[in-house]
Amino acid sequence: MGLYHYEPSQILAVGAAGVFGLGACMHLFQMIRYKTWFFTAFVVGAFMMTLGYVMRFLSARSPDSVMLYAMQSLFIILPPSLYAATIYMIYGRLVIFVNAPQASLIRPTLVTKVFVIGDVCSFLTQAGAGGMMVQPSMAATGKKLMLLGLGLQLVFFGFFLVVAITFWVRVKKVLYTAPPVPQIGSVPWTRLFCALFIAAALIIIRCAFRVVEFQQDSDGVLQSHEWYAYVFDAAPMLFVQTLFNVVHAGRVLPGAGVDRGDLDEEYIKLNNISHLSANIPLFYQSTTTQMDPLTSAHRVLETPELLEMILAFLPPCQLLVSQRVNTLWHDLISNSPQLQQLLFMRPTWSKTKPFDSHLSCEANRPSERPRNNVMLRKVLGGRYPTFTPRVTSQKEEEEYADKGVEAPDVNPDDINNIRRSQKSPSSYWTWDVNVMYPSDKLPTDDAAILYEKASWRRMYLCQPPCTELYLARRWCRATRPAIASEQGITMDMFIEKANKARELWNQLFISSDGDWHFEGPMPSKR
Amino acid sequence: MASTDEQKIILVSSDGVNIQTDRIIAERSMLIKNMIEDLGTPGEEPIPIMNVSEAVLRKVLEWCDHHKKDPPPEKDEDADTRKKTTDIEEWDQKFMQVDQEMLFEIILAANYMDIKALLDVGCKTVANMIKGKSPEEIRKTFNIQNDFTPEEEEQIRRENEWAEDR
Repeated sequence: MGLYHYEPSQILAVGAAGVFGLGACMHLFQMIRYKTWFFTAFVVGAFMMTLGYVMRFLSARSPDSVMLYAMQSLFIILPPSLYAATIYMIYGRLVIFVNAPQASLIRPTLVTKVFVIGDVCSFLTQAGAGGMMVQPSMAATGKKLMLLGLGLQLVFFGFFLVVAITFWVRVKKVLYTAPPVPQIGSVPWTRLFCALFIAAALIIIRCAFRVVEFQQDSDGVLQSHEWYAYVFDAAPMLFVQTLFNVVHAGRVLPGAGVDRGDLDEEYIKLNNISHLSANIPLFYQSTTTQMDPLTSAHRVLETPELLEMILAFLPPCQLLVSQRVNTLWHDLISNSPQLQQLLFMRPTWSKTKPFDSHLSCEANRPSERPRNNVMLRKVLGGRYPTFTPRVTSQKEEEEYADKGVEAPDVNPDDINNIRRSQKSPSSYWTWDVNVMYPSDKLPTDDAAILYEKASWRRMYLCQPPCTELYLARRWCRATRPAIASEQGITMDMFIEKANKARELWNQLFISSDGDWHFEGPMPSKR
Repeated sequence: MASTDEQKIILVSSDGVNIQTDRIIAERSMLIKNMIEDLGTPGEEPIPIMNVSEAVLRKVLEWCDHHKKDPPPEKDEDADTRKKTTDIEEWDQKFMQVDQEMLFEIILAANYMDIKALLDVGCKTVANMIKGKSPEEIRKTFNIQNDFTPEEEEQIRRENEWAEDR
């Protein structure tokens, strides 16, 4: 009984060597052309396979040569490990290409490492086993080792298939809400992914065949018939090799020539969120480590545009508190211009014509009264109950004006020197903000409010923001504003001033009706 | 030729189901309206609605049917006036009483099919679900992962503690 349990066919071996060789040359050419250097393992595998069948042909001519038998056996068994390694690398690259790392069970950068290490282990085990099997003294151990190597490959590949299928299912689900994946090459990425599945399935079939074959005795059905080896090993592997000739990764993925930086730029454009600050994580780049399938809720809540639309319906307090949900919510709320305006943190300058308070015509009044920031009540600790906005009319202005005398330019904080201004400038319209400020109450001692980085400090007093606030006593207004800010007056400025001036006002400045009276001009800005 | 009011058109859902509906109903969707205008042969060709499954599409059309008489949305509608209220009319409220998955599917469909009013109703419904909830409760409701470091979260909590209901 020879090394073979059958008469090995020379023609089949030559034929196989021929087609594998052809494919291998093709792969070498494609790798160079597309600069897909990660295909090196695959090309080496393809040439090894060719060599394996050349050896088999030689071995078939002299079936008693142990050396030739061992060589052909080894060279045919090993290449699929190299194919597998390439498949893992393609997967990792595809995940990054599609830009959906969180949809992958294993991080794409880790995929290549984990599986290629597993693959190398099984490769080395198989190679070592192949060597041992040739020596009669170690043949039994070698056989066991070979089974172990093949089993290892099967386990890793099975796990890989699970990872790949999970990825596919998840990505398929979110594809339509996500920005389209730009097609770089002539072949869409989905086709390469399908090829990956087919190749993986074929390699698994082949591994399973080899495991069964090695497990059987030397006179088992699989070992005693040559055609099994061709049908379950040569044919599937040839198919895999040819498949990647046809659907070459170089035609899908950006090669070395395409800079990833450009691609990312492209993503940002496609995401069309350039109006938001660039530090908002893109949907696909969000760092969620969630393993749940992407439900429609996630698809909505992880799309910045849609989440923004929802959040815009929330009251300001809820909006502020909701920043703590996760980083996307936080980044969106603190960067979206629309939400920031709702929070009085970004000015909404009036687009309407400035209102001239010296014209009596009703139609000339501002169509839109400024909205006061009711959050001020919260900051004032609830001690200061009312807050009444009022648009001044011409009549009132005249009434005060004719009582007024030209006031000297005095320090507005110096209450003893407050005089009435003669007239408010007509270049802007004014409205009054009356804040009840009972003299017998103390400022708040709430630590949450007094916290120096508390977010209310960044809020404007009203929207559009007023740019000047005057101290006034009854209807007498100071000639100079107590607070002035071109950028708009924030609550922080207001409270600081109020606390500073408080003592004086307690004694002298509170009008008889207990009002603290502010008046703010509002220039139109565009 | 039938008047626009009675014209029928056929929509094809993502799972390949044909749904016949009135043109006037379907045209609440700007996507469909534009498609019909582009195709130029209303009623003859079925219109594929690629991203919406049958169940969701039927639900969306139910809404469109009820709102077919609504005045068309103003072109330069001020974003501000639209945002002011989270009140939802009674019929819409009932309409939106669906499970969470369907609610968000409707939002996705309304966004894709460009039905602004329905998108607003959907967003308002979600906003109402968020209202009055703490961040933890929000995460729990929508199964959102907290990806802050404890320090980051504490910082944001302190900055906004004053706004919390205490």
